[in-house]
Amino acid sequence: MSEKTKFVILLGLLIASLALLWFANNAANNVVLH
Amino acid sequence: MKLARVNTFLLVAILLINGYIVILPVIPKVTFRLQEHNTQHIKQLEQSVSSPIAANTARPTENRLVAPSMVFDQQIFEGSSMATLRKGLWHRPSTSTPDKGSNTVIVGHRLTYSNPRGTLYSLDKVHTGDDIAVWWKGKRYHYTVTETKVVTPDQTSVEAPTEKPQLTIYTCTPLWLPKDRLVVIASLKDIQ
Repeated sequence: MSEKTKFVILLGLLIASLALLWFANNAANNVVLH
Repeated sequence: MKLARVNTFLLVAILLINGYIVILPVIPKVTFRLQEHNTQHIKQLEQSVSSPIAANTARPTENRLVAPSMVFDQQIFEGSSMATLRKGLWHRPSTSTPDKGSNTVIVGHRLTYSNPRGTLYSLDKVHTGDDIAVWWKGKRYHYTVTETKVVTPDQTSVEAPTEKPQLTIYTCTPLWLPKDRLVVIASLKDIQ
């Protein structure tokens, strides 16, 4: 596998990880009854 | 060669982010397990909640919530917006305060990946009959837990005024998919 292909895969995984972190944090943030 | 270094950096970043996501929720649990064996600290908390206060005892200057069953002693913050929750416990401004009777409502995050990480993480360790104290404007309001329940987020009646002095504390539940609210209700026992 070329370094370029690895870069594209890893970049995708990084974005997915950040999205997961954002989602996990937001899911817990709306604590107040509404 | 340069791209290979970038790839290594990306891999490390991915591992760190995912490690943080997985490990962080476990940390408050481990901390609680370690603290619940610290009998001296728990005894101190229990005494600060229910023992008579000597005249020369220093009282906290800020408002605080003390709950020995979850090894907990933290400041209560006041503010008009939900942003106050970022500091820790938030006294809901639309509800009463301990010195005015009725229903005093305090909320806090169960778990977040930003600050504060887990203010009321161990609220599920509080059971009926447990003692809780609120230090409010230099006075200690001693409560006994009368009820714990899980409600849906639209059950705002939890925050409704009450005839008798009451303390209501709530946070998100369950831990991983927080779709409901865990509510602890306590009635006033004495004021010192």
